[in-house]
Amino acid sequence: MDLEIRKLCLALGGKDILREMQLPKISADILALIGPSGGGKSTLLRVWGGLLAPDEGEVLLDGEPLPYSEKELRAYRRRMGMVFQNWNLFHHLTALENLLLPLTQVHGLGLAEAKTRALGYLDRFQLADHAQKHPHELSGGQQQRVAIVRALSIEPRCLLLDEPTSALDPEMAAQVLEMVEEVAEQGTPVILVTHHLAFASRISDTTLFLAEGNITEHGPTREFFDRPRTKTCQRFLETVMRI
Amino acid sequence: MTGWLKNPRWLPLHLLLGVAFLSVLCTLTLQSVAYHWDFVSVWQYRAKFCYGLGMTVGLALCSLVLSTLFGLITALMRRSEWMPFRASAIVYTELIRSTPLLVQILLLFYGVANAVGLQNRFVAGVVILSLFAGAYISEIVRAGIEGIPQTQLESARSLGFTTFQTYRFVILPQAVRQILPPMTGQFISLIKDSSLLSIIGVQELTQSAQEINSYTYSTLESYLPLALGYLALTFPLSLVAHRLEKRMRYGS
Repeated sequence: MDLEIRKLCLALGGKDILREMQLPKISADILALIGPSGGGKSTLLRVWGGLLAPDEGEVLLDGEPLPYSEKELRAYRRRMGMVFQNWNLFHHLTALENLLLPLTQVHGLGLAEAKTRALGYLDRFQLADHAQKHPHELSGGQQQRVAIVRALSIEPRCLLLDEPTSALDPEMAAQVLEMVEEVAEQGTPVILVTHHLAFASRISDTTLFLAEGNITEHGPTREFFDRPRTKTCQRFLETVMRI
Repeated sequence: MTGWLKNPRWLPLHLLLGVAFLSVLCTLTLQSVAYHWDFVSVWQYRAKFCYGLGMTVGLALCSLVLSTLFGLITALMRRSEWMPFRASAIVYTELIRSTPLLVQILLLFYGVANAVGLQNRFVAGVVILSLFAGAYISEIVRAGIEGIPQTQLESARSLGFTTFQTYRFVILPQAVRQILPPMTGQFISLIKDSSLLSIIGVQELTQSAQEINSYTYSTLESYLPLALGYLALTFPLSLVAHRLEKRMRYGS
């Protein structure tokens, strides 16, 4: 997928989060967004997911500018697969129903067709045994995996993951990351906000480093991790990689 | 050592003990005023009593439906992006919650109901009671909606749900479980509050008891069954509320 950002400004609650953010056109299959907390990673991901409209500037996905009006944004969101840190699944529905609801209500599939598709996806990621369980009967890792499956089942243009493992213990996090890797290998473009730098450096082909509402550095992942150009990145990587 | 006191298995025994204790207290009090019991003259008006009981149940049920509707609409208006909606919802709830129900009944019946030509006392009673309870229910509903984690709404939005779909499929089904226990309590209040409608001559339980009293001059023989009548209606409901609350606490 091709991404481009032109002078993107966005304020939330009177606070500037993204400040004239610029990104020349880049091509990426697996894009990692990293950087210190409060740098604007999650906010940028929400803009790409169509959840936040920019105050100023333009964001382009595959050459098309993202819409501004809520109605057009809703149509745009339907084609994006988004997964948040936690509480993604609807508590009152089983794993299977969680997949069926968007398929039948938003994408207009018949129940039988939706069921076939949903079960197929659950099966593909070894989650078929959990189809009839409610979220509270699943572990945190299983919940996140079902959430990713739900995002995939709508056959999105790309998968957007906002720190999908930060609320999980290391073992569960590993399972979720393994799954992300599988998804990426199967060819769905992924944009990932994460604190797992080792993971990010392994699976992503392109990395954006965000700090203070700007993209401080961007480039091919290997190059970025081997030879960060700016002082901020160098210091960040040194600190984080030490532990 | 006091463990058995808290064991729910002994609840019937506890209740029995409580009732026995209060009965002794009441008997002693009544003996000191040397009251002469005469249930015979009251007994012949039992049909009137039952009619009143039925009316009270009818009033409470109709008001439950209508007040839930009022409460739901008000809660949604309160959450609306449009300021006039929010403002009127706030004014409505605050006005209702800071004036006595009796005053509202008098004003709404002799003022508004008269002005719009609403003669049916039962219907007027239901509407007034529903306006009253609706303000409280809107707060219950609002708390239920606000108790839903923000990410659930964000998930729904990111999946492309419209606002209506989000309420229909995500918010309301989840809010209902939060709302059910306090709503049962609200229903109990409705049953009790409906007694005030006797002031505008709705033929409900309290009105019946008052009339029986004026026919027979047997005050306590009229009002004691009155209390027991309300108790018979509300007590099972408070047991239900108790169970619902427990179920909520232990997760789904």
